[in-house]
Amino acid sequence: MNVTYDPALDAAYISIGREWHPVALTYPVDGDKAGAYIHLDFDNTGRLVGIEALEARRLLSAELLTDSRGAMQAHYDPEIDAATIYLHPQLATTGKPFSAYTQHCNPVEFDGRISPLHLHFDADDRLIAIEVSDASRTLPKELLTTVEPLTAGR
Amino acid sequence: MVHPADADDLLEALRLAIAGQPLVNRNGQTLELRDHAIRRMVQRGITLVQVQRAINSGLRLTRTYEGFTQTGYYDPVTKVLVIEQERRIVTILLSRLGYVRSNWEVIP
Repeated sequence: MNVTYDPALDAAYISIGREWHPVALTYPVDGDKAGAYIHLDFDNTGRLVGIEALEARRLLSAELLTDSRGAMQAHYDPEIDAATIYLHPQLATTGKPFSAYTQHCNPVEFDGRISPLHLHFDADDRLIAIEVSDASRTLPKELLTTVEPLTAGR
Repeated sequence: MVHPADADDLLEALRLAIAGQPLVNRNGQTLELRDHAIRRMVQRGITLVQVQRAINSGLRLTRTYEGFTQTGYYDPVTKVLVIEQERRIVTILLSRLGYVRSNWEVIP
């Protein structure tokens, strides 16, 4: 995973898995709050490969935009096939949730291959985590082989 | 769809093409197309011709949130949505008309 950020546009792109992944479908998150400035990119097998955030200074943590390495982490639990991508340094360290509110995305209406995702925002409308059920079908394989499994206490 | 191995070459070719023939809006103003938007365009399989067509003849849209106003250009035929802010193209994507209708206001 990595993040590119253009301060002149205030636009960021979070690559899930490898940096360049062709996109077959873009799901613009609906809503009148922060979510409306987020676009989810999926490949032709229905896997999430990227997240675009417009007005990124408002939507993402400052740490994520300046140095994403410590600010971003994914956890995968193969037993329940669920994964969480943390986009905030404190969450990435502790793995602890979490959110002031959750926006549920159901791109299945767009494309039957895509499973629901849950975007978690803090009280300042910052996107802090993305929760994915059915992760083996929804996230790139290379991500699931490298992420830390959930451990007790997290 | 662009193969990852060809992406850098295509991006460079597009930068050169845009430098030679910049995108302009309906008022004749040049729109800046920076790397972020070029990458999204290529990654999402959208061509420069489709982008210019959306700007020239698509629906003109606007949305405002917390003081920020963005302009959109949407071509219902190709479904290309171009988002502009202060004469810079912020991003380019393919979008359904339903999303555009519920999240943007059409400028008559």
